[in-house]
Amino acid sequence: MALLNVFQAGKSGLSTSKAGISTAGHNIANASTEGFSRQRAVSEAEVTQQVAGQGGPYAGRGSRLSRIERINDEYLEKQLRDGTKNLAYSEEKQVFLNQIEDVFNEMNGDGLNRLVSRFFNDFRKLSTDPNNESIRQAVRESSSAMVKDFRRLSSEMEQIRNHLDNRIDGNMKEFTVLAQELAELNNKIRIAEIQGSPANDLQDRRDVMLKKMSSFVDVSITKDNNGMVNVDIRGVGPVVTGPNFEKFHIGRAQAQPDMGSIENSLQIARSPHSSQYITDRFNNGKLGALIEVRDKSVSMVMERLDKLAFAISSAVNEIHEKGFTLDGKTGIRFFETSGGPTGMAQRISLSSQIRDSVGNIATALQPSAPSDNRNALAIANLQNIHFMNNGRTTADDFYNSIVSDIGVSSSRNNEILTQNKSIISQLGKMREQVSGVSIDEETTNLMQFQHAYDASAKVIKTADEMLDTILSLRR
Amino acid sequence: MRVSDNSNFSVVRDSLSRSRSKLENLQMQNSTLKKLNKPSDDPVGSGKILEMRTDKVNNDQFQSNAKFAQSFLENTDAALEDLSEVLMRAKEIAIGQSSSASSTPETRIGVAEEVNQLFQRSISTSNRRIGDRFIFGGFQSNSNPVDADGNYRGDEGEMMLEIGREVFIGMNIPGIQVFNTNPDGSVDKVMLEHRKSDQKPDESKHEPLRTLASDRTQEQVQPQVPNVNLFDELKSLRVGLLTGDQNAIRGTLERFDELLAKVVSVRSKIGSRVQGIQGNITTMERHNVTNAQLSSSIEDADLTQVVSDMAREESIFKSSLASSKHLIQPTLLDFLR
Repeated sequence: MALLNVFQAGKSGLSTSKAGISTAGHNIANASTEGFSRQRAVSEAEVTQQVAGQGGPYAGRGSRLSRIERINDEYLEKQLRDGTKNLAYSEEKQVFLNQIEDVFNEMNGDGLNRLVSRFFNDFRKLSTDPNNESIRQAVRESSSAMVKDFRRLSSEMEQIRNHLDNRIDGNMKEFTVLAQELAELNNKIRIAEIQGSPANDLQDRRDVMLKKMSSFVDVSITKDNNGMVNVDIRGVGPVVTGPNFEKFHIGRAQAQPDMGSIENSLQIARSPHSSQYITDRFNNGKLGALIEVRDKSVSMVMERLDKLAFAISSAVNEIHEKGFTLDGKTGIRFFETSGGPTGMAQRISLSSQIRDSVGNIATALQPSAPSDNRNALAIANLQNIHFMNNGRTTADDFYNSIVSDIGVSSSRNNEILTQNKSIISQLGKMREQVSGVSIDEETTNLMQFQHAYDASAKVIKTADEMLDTILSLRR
Repeated sequence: MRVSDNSNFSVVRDSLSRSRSKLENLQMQNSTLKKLNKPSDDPVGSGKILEMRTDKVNNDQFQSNAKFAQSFLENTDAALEDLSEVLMRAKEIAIGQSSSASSTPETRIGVAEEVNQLFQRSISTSNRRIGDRFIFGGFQSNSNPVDADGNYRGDEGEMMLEIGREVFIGMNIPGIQVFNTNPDGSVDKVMLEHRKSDQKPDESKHEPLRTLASDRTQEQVQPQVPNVNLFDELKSLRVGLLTGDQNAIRGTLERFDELLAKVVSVRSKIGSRVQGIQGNITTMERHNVTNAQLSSSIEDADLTQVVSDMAREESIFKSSLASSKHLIQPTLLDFLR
């Protein structure tokens, strides 16, 4: 065996140790990098060589760095992506459900519930003394407070809807940017892998990006033979195919009643020319949450508010129109009602006659009967009458059910959110167990490779001394 | 098991933030003394709370309606007492003057003047008001229900008030029912119908919604009983006295009895209404107390519970802070120096 081989073996030891040290250094440096998977330098023994001629024993030729391995569990990454998607969905939903809940928060005692009961009770009070100017003023006052609160609720819900549209727009843009970056990364990884170097860190970055994309919408991810990943939005179609990406169009559109969205809200289409909207196919993730809250929760709440405003104003009007005022006038409307229930909560107002004079409140069922309170009584009694929901509920119950429904969906979502958070933290821990960096471990590796490095150096030194010995024989 | 530094830190972060958020929630309960601060804290409970708040507002109005009706009825009762005094006195006079033994033309002219005074008193009692409302006028509360001749000018309107959820009570007695023993057979009724047909109010439609707004003031009285009118009777007593017609005077006696019986029956009706109202007020008060207890059990925080929970959560927080100190501190590097 040639002595020079010993040099080679020493040298190979030095370089594998150095690779180990630099990998440990890389790991420590990235200990807190998001989505980083720890790496490990994998070395193998160099192919052995026959020593001492034909038939002699084989001796090792040192070691060789075969590759730098990325320690990562793909299945765990997939679970983590799913978890992220669910978490992002429930988190985003909670933000807006909380906002809706704040609009309807009656727990401090001020809200439509109180104003509606005040409205009916002021009519009840008016029935004790229909002639009384100051009670009439109070009736008008409480009616206008009720009307104003209907409008306040409706416009606050409208604001939430606008906010949702802005968020959908922003998220959609962010999603497209991610798709573009992913397509580029796909290309880089393919090129790197063709050149033979496993693109560990690029793959980590791609995993982070996939996780981010999953947080927007429900996507399915497949790997192709070239090591590139394809991303499909479930129910919609491909977004990223290898190095190419799809750009969705987003713009204002007409009302889509089958999706539950109103006039002029943002819709997603495959292209600017298409009028076939695919908005409702975006499920889960942040986008799914936003679209669901906008087209289901907000729309439903506003529709119910409109119905309530419409039912109260038309029921009161129906009775009021049949009554007589102090001056014997009849056929006067109490509320201004024009058009159907849609948008009623925003349009509801007192009629011009009532605004002109409280004398126009019709309390009597017959003309010139100053103490006739039967009409006032009939209006007050509407509070007990089941005139909502096809005669199943009273106005009070109907409103209270809006509030408690909001409460139910908010608290249920909050439970799901807590659950998702703990799932994510559990999965995160599992991922950390596999791919996370332990400083203790890396320090140990560092020491181990340092010692190996020292030892390899010693091998070279020994070989050098041996060479010296041989060279000095001829002296 | 591999433990990476990141997972170490995230365990610390998670446990600290969990404790903090629990503490914040408890702090919120402690400062508001309510465990129900938004609908999602207890959706079903919050629906219940809203219901009970409406109940409370309604009950307060029902109670104030009931008190109003009570005072109105008590005032009516006082007026009726006056009327019955008038009738008693008229009856006494009629008894005194119905036998020739005590009755001379001079005394008769003297008491005729007293009967005239009684007539005037009954008119003014019938025109009594509370504030600016005439109590006997039915719905016609802005003008005298009885004119100077004793003709009824009011109507049969009975003002119903809601004194409990869908519990209605009449707060007034239309004068026509007091002044006549058989209102349906009275001249006043004929005149009233006459005036009504002049005005022709539109009451043709009666939907279920408006059952309350419909006329509920009809009373079932046998039409064959002849009517006696209070004012007519006083007038005829006076005429009898002035003309010295002892038979006519004697004839009034029985009819005064009928009138007195009528007033007494109306007063007992008022009495039972007032009793009903008082019972209702007590029920309302009890209802309010029960409601308050129930809503307190739903929305009020149990202070002892909150404070002890807080103390417990605080100690958990402190101990996780203390343990995280140990968890984070040492690495291998610390021992290599």
